[in-house]
Amino acid sequence: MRLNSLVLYLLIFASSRVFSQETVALRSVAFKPPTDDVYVMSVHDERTNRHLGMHKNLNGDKVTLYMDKGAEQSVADFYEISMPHRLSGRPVLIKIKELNVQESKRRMNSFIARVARAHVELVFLEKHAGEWSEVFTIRHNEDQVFGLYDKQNLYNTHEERIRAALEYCMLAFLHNYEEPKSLTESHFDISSGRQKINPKLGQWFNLVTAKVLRSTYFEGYGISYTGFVDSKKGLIRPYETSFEVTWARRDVAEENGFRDVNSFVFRPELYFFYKKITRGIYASVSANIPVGYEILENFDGDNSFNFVIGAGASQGLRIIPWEKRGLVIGADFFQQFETSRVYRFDVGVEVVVGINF
Amino acid sequence: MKRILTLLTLLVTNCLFAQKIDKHTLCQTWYLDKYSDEEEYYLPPKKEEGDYMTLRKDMTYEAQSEGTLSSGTWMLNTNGKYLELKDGNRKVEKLYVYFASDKSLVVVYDVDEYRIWEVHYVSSK
Repeated sequence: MRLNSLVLYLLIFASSRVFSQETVALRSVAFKPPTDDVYVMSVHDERTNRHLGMHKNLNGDKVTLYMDKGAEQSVADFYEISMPHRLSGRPVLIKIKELNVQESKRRMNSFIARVARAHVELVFLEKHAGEWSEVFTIRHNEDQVFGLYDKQNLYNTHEERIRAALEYCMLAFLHNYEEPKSLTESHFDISSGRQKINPKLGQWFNLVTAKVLRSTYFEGYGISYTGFVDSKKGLIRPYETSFEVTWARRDVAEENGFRDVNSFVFRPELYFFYKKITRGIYASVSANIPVGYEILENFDGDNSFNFVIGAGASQGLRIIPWEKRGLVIGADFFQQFETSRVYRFDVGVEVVVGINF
Repeated sequence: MKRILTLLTLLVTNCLFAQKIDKHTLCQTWYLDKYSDEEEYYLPPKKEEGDYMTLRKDMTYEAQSEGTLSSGTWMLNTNGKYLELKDGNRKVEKLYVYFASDKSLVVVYDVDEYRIWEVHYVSSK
């Protein structure tokens, strides 16, 4: 009996973990279509997965989001408010190919921002000679940027972006349908080649890494946080903040008349890019301006300070075998000019080990 | 007293965001008046004096930004509460509408550099 209860409890617990879901109800906000002649007769949901996506809700629980009345009814009701059924009107049928909401992060200026997206792909059909035929297809993203700590506002406005995306698609259909203007005149020009719609927001990676560095004159260690959005195409602009401590190698310090030379340097970047080579492997390049100071201790034990400024560059690799969480390894080759008291030009290597989550 | 003021502020803010934007209200010439952030208002810099945008009923627009003229098409997304301007080079600008009346238009440009500023336009100088 006890075993049965335990099994039952485990089943309920597992079900609640797997099937936990929340619903999104579209608010009734009418928009003004350019014509009153068209109405939506019916909506067919052709998605394989009929949910809006898996998300963490405001309590931090993983939930699957659904439209409260199902996508077909919710979308039909949304359009009905602005385009009520008229006996003299022309019916259209809509197929839902894609409908989901997404969330990620990205670098914004010198900070990290949250990004939300509603992604929609609709196909519009009209009846010609008794047969329904596809006359218009549109893919559309409604993206919105939020502050890093504005998760609540982001989560609560998923439904608004769905409405905005549905409105956009309908306006595009009606304007192309009613006013077949030249390509340059139409605001809703979706002709092939002009409209590049990426259906997925890139995955956000958090990397916390430690590095050991060794150069011609210096050695040291550092710790870094790096955040970036994965992208197959183009250059990735990561956000990075790091701290490093270096010291001149004993023989180098002594050759220059010092017992110890320690330096504390920040590196505001001029540019910093990742380029995805293949899954889990990224090349990195950066240029920076090292700014900081050296503490120089002579053989009498007296300390002096030296302001340091210069120009630096690095090229390297990051290997992230597991996308969700796991190990990060990497290496960088760096070069720098500095107003150091022990060198002017230095080259070295960094070995990087850390985790991604 | 403080609680009442907070409640009133929340109600007013809520009303502003709940405001439905009318396309006809927007169809006129809007002159750049000032910027604001969470703390205060700022006058536009000299190079932006005289900047404006004219939104026409036929969905075309003309604008002057930092003295440079541009033109193209525009649309209003009521549910998204934004304007979308597309110039002759197909470059798109998205402006979230925070407030719109016959005399005043407050927008936020959906661009990283300007997202923290509310841009205030007025319908006549």
